[in-house]
Amino acid sequence: MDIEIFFTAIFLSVAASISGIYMVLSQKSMYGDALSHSLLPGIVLVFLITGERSFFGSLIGALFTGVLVSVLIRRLEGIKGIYSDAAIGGVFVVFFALGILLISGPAEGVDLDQDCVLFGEIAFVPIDRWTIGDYDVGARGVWISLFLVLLALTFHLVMGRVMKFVSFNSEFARSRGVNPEIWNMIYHIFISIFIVLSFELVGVILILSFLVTPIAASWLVSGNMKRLIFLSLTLAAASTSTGLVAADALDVSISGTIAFMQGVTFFVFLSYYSLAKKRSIRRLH
Amino acid sequence: MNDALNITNLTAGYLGRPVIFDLCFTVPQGVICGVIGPNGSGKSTLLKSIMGLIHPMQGTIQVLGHSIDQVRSKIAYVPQRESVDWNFPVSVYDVALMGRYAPDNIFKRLKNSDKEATLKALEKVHLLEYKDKPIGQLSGGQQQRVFIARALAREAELYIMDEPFAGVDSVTESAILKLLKEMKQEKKTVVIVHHDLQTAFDYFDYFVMINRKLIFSGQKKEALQPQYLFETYGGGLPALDRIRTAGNAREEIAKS
Repeated sequence: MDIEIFFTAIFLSVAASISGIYMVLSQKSMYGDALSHSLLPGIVLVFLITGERSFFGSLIGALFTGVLVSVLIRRLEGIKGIYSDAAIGGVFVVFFALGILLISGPAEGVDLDQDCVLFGEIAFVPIDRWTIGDYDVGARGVWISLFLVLLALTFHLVMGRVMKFVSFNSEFARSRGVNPEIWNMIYHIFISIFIVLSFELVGVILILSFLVTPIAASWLVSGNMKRLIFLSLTLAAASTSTGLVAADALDVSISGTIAFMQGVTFFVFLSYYSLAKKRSIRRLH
Repeated sequence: MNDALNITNLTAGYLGRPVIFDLCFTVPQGVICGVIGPNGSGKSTLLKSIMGLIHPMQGTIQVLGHSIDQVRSKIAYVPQRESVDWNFPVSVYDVALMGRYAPDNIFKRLKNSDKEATLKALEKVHLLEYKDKPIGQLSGGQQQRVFIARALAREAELYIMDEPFAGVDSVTESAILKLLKEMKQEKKTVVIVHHDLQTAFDYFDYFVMINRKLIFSGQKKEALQPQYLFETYGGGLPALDRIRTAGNAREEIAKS
């Protein structure tokens, strides 16, 4: 197996397993779905305006639609009968549809299609090189994913406490003069940046699996943050590496196998959790 | 001395629909005040307006003589227990420590005084030995005490609590009552939303009775009037119905 693919996948899964924590803990895992699908029309719109697809153009376009989507969801949530899930489901599909609509018509020339956005292709990571002058420093994907690890760690160190505060009890946070809306918005911008930088490497579906599954599995057996983070990092790295090895041995899709392995670890943890719970109930009797 | 609460012509509600109308009352400092009324009478709406969590449609609210944003550091809030997910992976100590968080220290290293105040608060609610336990493993009463410890850690002057007695065991109930006594001695003000009329007159010494509008506010001895209870609970209370039917029956007998 290519070592560059290996490092890209491990770095990305580790970075995501720290980044997605507050989405999962505040029961907003689907926000990741919404943000990831909304980046498509953003990128395409910037392409339509500037006529080219640059890195920073894409980033700005995606951030713009990311913020728009999260504001829209927040506004809809308050209205009678529209709960968080309905608001998210209603908004992101419309945005993704707009993206597809633009790609198939006015923005036909953009070097982007829905398959690439959804599934990506991690096998192509070694092809895209980063060169300084004539010197080849390695695959661009490895550096991007390493940067994301650092970004995620920094975010966690700086924002961890405030995010824990507003995610646990937003009403109480507001009573203390800390506005949850602002911090949640900053968090959504961070997640948008994360997704924009990583989706072309592995596709949004695998990114979502990275952002949610190891954390959800670890939460089942963790009573404090330290344990949750440690477990979810370990799980992410373990399921990603076994997924990579399995994909290599069976000669099947890498992204598919990794996402599948993450699902398997989740169910292993779920079974452990259910058994432990049953045992403790039996002990009570 | 400023009143703990001074509310004039307050109308508030959600999505443009008012729940409470034109409330005017004051709560002096140093009392244990019960805000009572039936379900849907707007008790929680009132608390949320006081805490600045929802904006009043009309009227003014003064807390300790100022607007709420100027005195937040002197106020501690205990929301309803149902307002959080108790599976959240934090320990008892973590939650109590959150009472010390404020906009000016949320990104800084916490001081020793913050940690000491937190431990002292946990001791007051008898949860010191549970401090490293995940909150998910606590009983309902213990959860309520964690919430109270988080408020106590604030070392505030005014405490605002939303239904702290709802669904708690007798250990917790007596622990809270003991705390209330101590707070009264320390000249702190406590405003508590409470819906159980049976116990209200044992717990509080000052009353605000509402049923979407103000029925009564004042000292306990004046609050114990049947007419206020009738108006507050609108005859929805079985005990009050019985009194009324008995009264009617007596009148009919007298007539015949």
